[in-house]
Amino acid sequence: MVKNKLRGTCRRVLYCLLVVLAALPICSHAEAAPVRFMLQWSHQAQFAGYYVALEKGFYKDKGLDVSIVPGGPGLDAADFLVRGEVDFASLWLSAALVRSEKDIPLVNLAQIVNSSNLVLMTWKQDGISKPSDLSGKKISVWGGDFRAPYEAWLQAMNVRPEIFPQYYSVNLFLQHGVVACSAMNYNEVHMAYQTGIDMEELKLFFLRDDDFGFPEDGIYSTRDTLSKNPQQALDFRAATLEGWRYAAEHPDEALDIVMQYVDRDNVPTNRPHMQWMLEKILTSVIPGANDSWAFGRLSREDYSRTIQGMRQQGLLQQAPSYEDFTGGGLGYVP
Amino acid sequence: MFRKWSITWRLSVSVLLASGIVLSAVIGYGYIVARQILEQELEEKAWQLARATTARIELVEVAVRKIVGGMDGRMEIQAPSQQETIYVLLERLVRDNDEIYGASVALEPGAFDYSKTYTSPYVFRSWNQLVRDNRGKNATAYFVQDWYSLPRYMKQPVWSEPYQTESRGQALMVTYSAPIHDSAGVFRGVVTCDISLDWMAELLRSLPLGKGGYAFLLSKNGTFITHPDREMILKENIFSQAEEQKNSPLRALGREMVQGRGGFVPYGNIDASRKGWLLYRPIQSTGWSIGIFFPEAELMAKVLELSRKEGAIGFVGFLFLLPVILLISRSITGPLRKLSEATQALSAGDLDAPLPQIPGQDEVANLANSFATMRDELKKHISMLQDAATAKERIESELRIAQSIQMELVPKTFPPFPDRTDFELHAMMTPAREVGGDFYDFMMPDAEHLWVVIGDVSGKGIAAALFMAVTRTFLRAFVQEEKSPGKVLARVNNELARNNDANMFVTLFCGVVHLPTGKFRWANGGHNLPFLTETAGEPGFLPRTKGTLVGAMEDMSFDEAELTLHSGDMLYLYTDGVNEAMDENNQLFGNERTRAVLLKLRQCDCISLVNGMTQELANFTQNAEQSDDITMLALRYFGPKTET
Repeated sequence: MVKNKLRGTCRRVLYCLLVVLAALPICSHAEAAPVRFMLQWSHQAQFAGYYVALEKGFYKDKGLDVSIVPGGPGLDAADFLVRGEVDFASLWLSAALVRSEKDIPLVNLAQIVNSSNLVLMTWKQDGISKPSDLSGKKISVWGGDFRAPYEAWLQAMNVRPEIFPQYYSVNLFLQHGVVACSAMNYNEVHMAYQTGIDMEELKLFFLRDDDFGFPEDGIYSTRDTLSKNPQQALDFRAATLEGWRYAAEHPDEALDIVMQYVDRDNVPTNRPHMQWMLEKILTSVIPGANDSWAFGRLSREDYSRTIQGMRQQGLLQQAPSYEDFTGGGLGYVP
Repeated sequence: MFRKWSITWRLSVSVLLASGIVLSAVIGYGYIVARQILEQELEEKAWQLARATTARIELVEVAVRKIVGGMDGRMEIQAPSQQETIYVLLERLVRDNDEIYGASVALEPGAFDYSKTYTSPYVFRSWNQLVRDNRGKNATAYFVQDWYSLPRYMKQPVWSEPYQTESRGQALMVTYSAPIHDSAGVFRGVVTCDISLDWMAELLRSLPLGKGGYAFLLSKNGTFITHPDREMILKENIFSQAEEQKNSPLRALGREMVQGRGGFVPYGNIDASRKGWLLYRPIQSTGWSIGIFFPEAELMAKVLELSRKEGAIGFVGFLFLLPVILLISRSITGPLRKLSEATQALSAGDLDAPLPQIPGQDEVANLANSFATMRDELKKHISMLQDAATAKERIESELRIAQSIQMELVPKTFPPFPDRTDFELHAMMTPAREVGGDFYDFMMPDAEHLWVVIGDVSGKGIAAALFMAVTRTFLRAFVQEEKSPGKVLARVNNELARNNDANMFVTLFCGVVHLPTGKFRWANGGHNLPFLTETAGEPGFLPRTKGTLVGAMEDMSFDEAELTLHSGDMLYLYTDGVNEAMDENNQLFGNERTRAVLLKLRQCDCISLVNGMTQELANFTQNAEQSDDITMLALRYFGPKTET
């Protein structure tokens, strides 16, 4: 009886061991490091390069097991990054600078969106054809990180409109509650088109045309994270840039991948809109022949221009040096 | 091709074709008219349906507006201490209105209670119970939502874009929110009503649109609020669809709809795969637009069914029509065919073949009667012809016999006396078709005398020929015995006159040349006087002698005359076939012409003279038929025989 019982126990132990062994990854190479990367908004084509890098296995090739965490209303990626809940995050340059000053220093690993997509979208039918036409009119502008460039631009244009806060939708603009609203060229402009407004009905002011566009999305980590594992940051950066390059070369495939993410998360959007967004974002990620900026890289000039603009708006007092902010050139080894 | 077909076929095909065209035209016209009527009816029905549906939606909207409107301007009494009052008010609102899922009052942050920044009493349904909640708890910034900011800044009630709730199994909701102002007109917050759209989807689904028909609602932004395809709702909107399909008419339609216009348009122009009509109409209060699609197939099914039935009836009609046509055409062509067969037998010579008996008075019957008459006439005519032919045949054979007798009797071997050098002689007779009874003869009973005779028997045919044969036989006999032509004629006359019951007679010229001397004696029994062409002179008649027709009466005497022929003199004997030959204008050849010819041919030998005269006669008469025998005899005397 006892023997039997003992044998039974042994068998059970052996069985358990087998199960545990079977559950272990077969190849030691596949022991990829888990990496959490957070987007500053919900899934959309704005982040196509990351999805492509993940889906095409570029992260995996670098030994990274990346999970992409979507942001959204009330889910600020900077918060998660500062709290250490994610390893990397996609942030606006201005947001990263504010956070660096307020909370803990953040490091720019790569500047993905170098060309500004900020637009002031206006109704032609309300008589808007030049900035001065906005004087005394009601317009809506986003708050937070997005507000500064518009304020700077309005100031430079010497127009004083009545500014309403703008939140997540442009419905106030669409219903003619305001004559102008802030918009991303890759998003809200096309949203308006998809409510039946023809492009000819709109007058768009691109902030970048008056040099008020600043670099936008970049990849950030805390200085802490970077110093712990600089190679991982470099690998993540390299794989991400590869993802963007691939997306630029295979836009159709990239769009399919984007739609997978969008559909999985039930994001209320549609394929043509994502296509538009992908096209527009790619032109501000991959430099064209006339662009002075380099792919994936924050230029010293843009950095100081941004800081200068933010200081003028009183959004920033102290700013790290270019070298500190970019990890001492860590990310930009040629 | 068509002309090669039989009448039955042509008639059948033509009638069927013509009635087929008429039938098709009728069906086609019916189809078009029915389609138009149905289209009109459909449009009417569609408008009614749209109006009714719109009214249902607006009813809710009006109710909500009334309730919410009631709160505006009363906010001073809704102080925070009276939050309970707000909840009670909201609970009543939700309980009394089935369509309302939840209602809230969202106060402007700090509007009343500065310690509670975000205050939004909220009442909603949960499993048939009403639950109280505060939307502002956990510092939720509701004021960034459209349902709050839009009415606030636009200072008017606003219907939100539809959205999906996280709770309640992702129910589709829309929020009506109205701004609240205090008596001073200061904005204090908004009242909201969350209305489930499921009932609306159910309402649109329950519309009697038939198979394939559907209705949908578009929000102000063109987003599908309800759509039979749930996947479309919220994610897709009419413009994203248009963009994806690269369908600019669809985009134009979307613009029409979101701009609050109405219409009834054929949808096939927008989406070729969906033939039908689309009615769209704005829902004024919400700024939405309702679209109702009616598939053509559904509508046309009835029309097509009608047309199909008409076609089937037409086809059955054809089936009845066909035997009728065949019957009629048979009744025409049947007798015609029989008639045609009978005529073929007729034309093959079988006049006794029976003709079809066709009853009635119609054209075909008349034709058959005419045929019968014609056949009878033909029969009669043919039998007459046969009789005539038999008679003619008999006459012809008699004539042939007579002719052969006549031709047999006259000597035809020339020169007749090849060893004689003191004269030459040639004669010729061309019998007319109906024998005249002419003859000539010459003989030498001894070496010194040459007899020449020419005659013309009265009458025609065998009798004349035989009479001529008899005459010749007598002549030949008497020439042996008598030396005088007058006596010969007298004896022939007596022989012929005796037993001459037929009262036939003959004109006879009879002459004899004493060859050693050239002395020529002749007697004439009523015959044309021959010409004498002397070597030195012109042609002239021989002197007339007394004499009657031979064979008419017995015991007649015939005078004789005599002259001497000199070397080279020529005698030309002939019958009235020569001088009485007629041309086409019934002109006689005449004695003068005869004489002229003789003068012209005086140097010729006898053969040439005879042939020449024949030729002249032929030239004269041309195509005129020869009416009498032409007989001539030429004799030239060369003088006494020099040899021996």
